[in-house]
Amino acid sequence: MATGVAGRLLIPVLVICYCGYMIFEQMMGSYRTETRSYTFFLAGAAIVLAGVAIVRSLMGKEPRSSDDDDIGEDSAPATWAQYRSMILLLVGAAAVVLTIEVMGYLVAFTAFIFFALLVLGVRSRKQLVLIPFVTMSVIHLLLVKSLSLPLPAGFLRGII
Amino acid sequence: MFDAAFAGLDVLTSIVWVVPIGVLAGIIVGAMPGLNASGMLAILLPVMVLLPPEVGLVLAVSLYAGGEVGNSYPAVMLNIPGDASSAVAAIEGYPMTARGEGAKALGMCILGSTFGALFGGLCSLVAAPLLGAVALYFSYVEICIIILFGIVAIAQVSSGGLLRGLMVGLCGLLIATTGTDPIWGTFRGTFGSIYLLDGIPVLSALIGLLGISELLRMVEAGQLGAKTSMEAQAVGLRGVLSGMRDALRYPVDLVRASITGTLVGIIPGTGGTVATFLSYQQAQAWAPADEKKDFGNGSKRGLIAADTANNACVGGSIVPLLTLGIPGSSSAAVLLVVMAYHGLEIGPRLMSVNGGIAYAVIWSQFIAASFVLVLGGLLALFAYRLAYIPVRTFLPIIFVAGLIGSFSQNQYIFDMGMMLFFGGVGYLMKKYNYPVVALLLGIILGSTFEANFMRGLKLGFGSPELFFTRPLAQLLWAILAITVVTPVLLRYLRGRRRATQAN
Repeated sequence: MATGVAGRLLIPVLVICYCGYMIFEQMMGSYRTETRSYTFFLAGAAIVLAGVAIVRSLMGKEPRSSDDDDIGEDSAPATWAQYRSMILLLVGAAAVVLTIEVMGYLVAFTAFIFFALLVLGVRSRKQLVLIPFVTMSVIHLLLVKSLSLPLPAGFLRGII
Repeated sequence: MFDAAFAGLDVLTSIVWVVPIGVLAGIIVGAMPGLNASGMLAILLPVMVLLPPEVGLVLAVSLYAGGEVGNSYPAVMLNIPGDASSAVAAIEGYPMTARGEGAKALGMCILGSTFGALFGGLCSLVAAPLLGAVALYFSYVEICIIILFGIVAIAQVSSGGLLRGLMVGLCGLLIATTGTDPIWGTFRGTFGSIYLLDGIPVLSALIGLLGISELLRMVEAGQLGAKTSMEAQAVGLRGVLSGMRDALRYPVDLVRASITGTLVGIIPGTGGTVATFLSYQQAQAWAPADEKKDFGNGSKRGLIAADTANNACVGGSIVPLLTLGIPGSSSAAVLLVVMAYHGLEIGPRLMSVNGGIAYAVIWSQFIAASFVLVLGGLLALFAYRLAYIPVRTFLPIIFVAGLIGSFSQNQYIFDMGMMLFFGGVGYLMKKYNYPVVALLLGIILGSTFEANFMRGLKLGFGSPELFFTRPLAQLLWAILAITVVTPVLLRYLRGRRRATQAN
C-alpha cells in the first residue's frame, strides 16, 4: 500500500520539480515578459494541480483505472523475475546508448538483441542466432546502405 | 481552365506508371519508424530533380500520399508512430491490435486515407483558386485558435480524471517550450544541454511514451506470447476488408475529417499533425455518449477521423503551393524545390503558364488514392501478421527500431537516451493511471501553439485584443465554443429528458 501511494505521488512530485526548475530558470535568466508570463502561467497552474493531486492521493481519493486498459493497475502483481527482466532490458538499452558511439550500431544492436532475447526467456539457439543476424542485415542494407541513415559505425568505421 | 485540366490529364496518362511506384515506395518507407513523408521526400530529392518536372512532381505526390498511409502501419501494429501525425493511429489503433483486431484497424486506416485523399484531390481540382485565396485570411491569430482545438482534446482524453489530464497536459505544453524561444531566440529549459537547444525531440517522446512504455508494461505483466491467437489468422484478408466496410459505416466522420484535413492543409504552417488532432478532437466532441469512453482505448471513430484528415491534408497542402507558391507543409516545400529547380512559374501564374503540369499533379492524387487502397490493402496483409509473432522474440527488434527511429530525426545519440527517459516516464504514468495522451498532446502541439500565440501578440503590439476582434478569429472561437459546449449541453438535456420520463 505504502509503495502504491509513493508510486502515485511520483508523477505529481516530478511535475512540481520540473515546473519549479522552469520558474527558477525564468526568474534567474534575462527573459522577456511575454516568455516569462507564458512559462509562469503553465508552470504555476501545473504546480497547483499537482498539489491537489498529491492531497487527493494522500486522502485516498484515486480515480479508478480504465476498464478497457488491457494491462491495468489492478492486474495481477508482477513477480520479481518480471521486474528483473524489465530492469535488465532498460539497463541493456541504456548500455547501447552509452556505448554505440564507440562500439558502432552493428555490434551494439546485435549484442542488445541477443541479450534481450536471453532475458525474455528465448532459449532456442536457432532463434538466438537468426533474429539478431536477420535484423541487423535488414538495418544495414536497407537503412544504412540504401537510405544513407548515418548510424554511428564506431570502431568499424571504414570497414562496413 | 478546362483546357489546362485536359492537358494535365493528357500529361498524366503518359507518366501514370510513376504513381504505383511512388505509392508503394511511400508506404514501405513511411512504415519505417522515424522516416516521415517530408524526410523521405527530402532523401529522394536528388532523384526527383533529375527526372522531368512532371514525372518528379507526380512521383513526389505519390510518395507523399503513400508515406502518410505507411506511417500508420507501425503505429497500429507496434505502437510506434512513424511521426507526430500518426500518434492518434497508435493511440486508437494499437488497442484494437491488442484486442485481435489489427487487420481491421489497418483496413480502416487504408479506407479512411483513401477517402481523405480523394476528397482532398477533389477540392484541389474544383476549388484550388478559391481555397488558395481563403488560405491568405489565416494569420497567426487564427492558426493559434485552430491549434487550441487540438489542445482542448487534452480535457477530452483524460481517462485518469480531468485533474490529472490537465496537470500532465500543462506539463506537456511546458516541456514543449524547451529550447529556443520562437520570438526572442533565448534558450529555455535545456538543463544546460546543447542537444536540447532545438527543443525536445518530439519523435523520441512519442516512441518512448507510447511504444517503449507499452513494451515495459508487457514485460512487467509477463505478457510475452503472441498478441493475437493463431485461430484469428483466418480473418486475414477478411479482417482488412471488414475494417474497410466498418469505416464506411461512419460516413459523417469520414466527410467531417476530410473537410477538416483539407482546410487545415491549405493553411500554411499547420500540416498533418494539427489536422489529425483537430479532427480527433472533433470526432470526440460529436461522438455519441456511449462511444466516448472508447476514445483512447481503440475507438474506431477516432482512428478513422485521424487517418482521413491526415491524407486529406495532402490535397489541401498542394492548393496554396499550386495557386500561390506557398507550401502548406514541409512535404509541399520539397515539391516547391522541385518546381523551382525546373524553372516552373511559381505563384498565381503557374496555372496559366504551366497549367498542364499543375493539373497533372492534381489528377495524380486520384490515381494515388486508388493505389493506396489496393497496395495498402495488400501490404496490410503482411503487416497484420506481426501480431502473431510471440512478443518475446519480437520485442528486442521493436526496441531497436524505436532507438533507430528516435535517432533518425536529428541524428543525435542523445535522442535515443531521451526515448528511454520518456519510455520510463510513460511506464510510470500508465502504471499509476495518468493519461499519457494528454502529455503527448501538450508536447506535440505546444511549440506550434506558443509560436503562433506569441506572433499573434506581436501582431497586436502586445495586446491580445486581436484574438477576439478579427472576424475569422471570432468565427473560430464560436466553432470552438460550439464543439466544446454543445455536446455537454446535449448530454445534459438528454439526461434530464430521461430523468423526466423515468419519473
